Amino acid sequence: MPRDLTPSTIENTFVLKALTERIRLDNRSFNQLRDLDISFSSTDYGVVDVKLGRTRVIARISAEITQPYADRPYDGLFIISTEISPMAAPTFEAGRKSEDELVISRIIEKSIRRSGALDTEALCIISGEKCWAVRADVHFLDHDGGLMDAACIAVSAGLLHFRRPDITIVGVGSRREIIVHPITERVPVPLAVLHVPICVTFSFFDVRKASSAIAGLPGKDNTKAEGDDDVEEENDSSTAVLVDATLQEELLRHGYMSVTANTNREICQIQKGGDVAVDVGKLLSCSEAAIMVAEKVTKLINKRLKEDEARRNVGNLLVEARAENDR
Amino acid sequence: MEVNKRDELPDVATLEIVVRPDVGVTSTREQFLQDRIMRVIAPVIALELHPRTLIQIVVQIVQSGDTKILNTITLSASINATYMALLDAGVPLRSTVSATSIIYYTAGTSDSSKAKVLIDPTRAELEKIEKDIVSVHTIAYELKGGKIERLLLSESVGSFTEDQVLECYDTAANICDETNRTMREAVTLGVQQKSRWREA
Repeated sequence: MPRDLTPSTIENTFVLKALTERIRLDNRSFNQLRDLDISFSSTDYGVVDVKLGRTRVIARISAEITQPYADRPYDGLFIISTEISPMAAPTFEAGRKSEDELVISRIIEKSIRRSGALDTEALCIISGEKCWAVRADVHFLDHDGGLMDAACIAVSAGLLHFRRPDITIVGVGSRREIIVHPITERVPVPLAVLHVPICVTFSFFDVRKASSAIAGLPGKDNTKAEGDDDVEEENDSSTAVLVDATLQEELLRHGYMSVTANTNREICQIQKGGDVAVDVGKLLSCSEAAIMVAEKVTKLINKRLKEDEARRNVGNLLVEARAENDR
Repeated sequence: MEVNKRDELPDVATLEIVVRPDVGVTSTREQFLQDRIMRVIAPVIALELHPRTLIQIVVQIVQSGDTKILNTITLSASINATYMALLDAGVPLRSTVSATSIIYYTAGTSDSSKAKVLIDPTRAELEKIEKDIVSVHTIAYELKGGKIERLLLSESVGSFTEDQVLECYDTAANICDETNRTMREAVTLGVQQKSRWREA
């Protein structure tokens, strides 16, 4: 039975004290993301490798033809599978859902599927009979905090990168047949992605709670730092807000809030957990920050997509062989 | 790692292998791979050195080199990867392991004795000959001091003759030896990089 990670008291007070002095252990500022690296598979479409600091997530998009649900004949299927294996961290048990995992998969589900990032109606082939089932498998390879942020980026980028094989329908009535053209035969078709949701997690640290814990420790600086905070920013001093927490920070935080936003300045989803109260001002500033991050990340995804396309599109064949028009 | 009370063994370490598919949920295919990897790896690990603990190996398939009907490439790659991971984790091993895939296919002729051989093919190569495959062999050898010690796994599917299997063993022995040397180089390089701080 794997045991949960429990940071020691020394670690706890050290991190919190540093935060009261506005220092993070990896020397980032409070609203700075870790180094983000996105790379696509050179052979397959829809395979994305996202590295966020030491967190590593691979998303793989696949599509097959199935029958749509009876109550939704015009909609295709879109499934996101976010099973966390012990590959990410030994604390995750194989074959059993932990509470963390549930939260992560719910947030990703809400961020991407329920925000309508993928137009499922475009996946319909013959209404009520045949449709595409798009599947996103998220593999968590390394866990250093921010799993949902990385997973969200990976799935979003994967959907943009994925190409499904082109199809044609021949015949009429009950004798209709679908011909699937292999990727080698016809230029494959991208998915109808309506917007690119990016999830940003803010971690809250109750500094007052922290300083009372630290107060028991020797050293003059504690009291001074505490005093300074109270004078300078009366309201803000009670909580420190961190963007993109590492695993250590994630384990020590008192509360969190995940905000999913896109470049259209739309908030797709907000989820708050933990026992820290968040007032309107904080909510707004976090949303604003999330939109900024979303813009930055989307820009990076698009840059990488362009690079990938340039690499694949040798001799401009992909453009010339395409049947569809630019809209 | 700490072992589940139920799986705890008083004299040896418990070995757990989890294989995760690249697409979809775990099925019989993954179970099969788990079973085969277990059989190859278990006799090689010095399990008695860590009684009442758990050695957990997670194999995550990121991109399968096999076509839909095969799993030989995945199996041989998983065995090699597992061995490398065990080395990197510093788990005491008795000897080294390496695995390979050998595929027989007919090149236009129906005579199976004239079948051609393909060793550790890529997916593109496999897709080309998929319909002509006659038999598929996955073979793993144990090596000690760079020499083939014993056969750990011989997994064959399809129709083949005795001579072909024996031929397979010989070819596989050479390939495994070569793979083993490549892995040795990689490990040496890795260790060098990791212990750079010592030189300073």
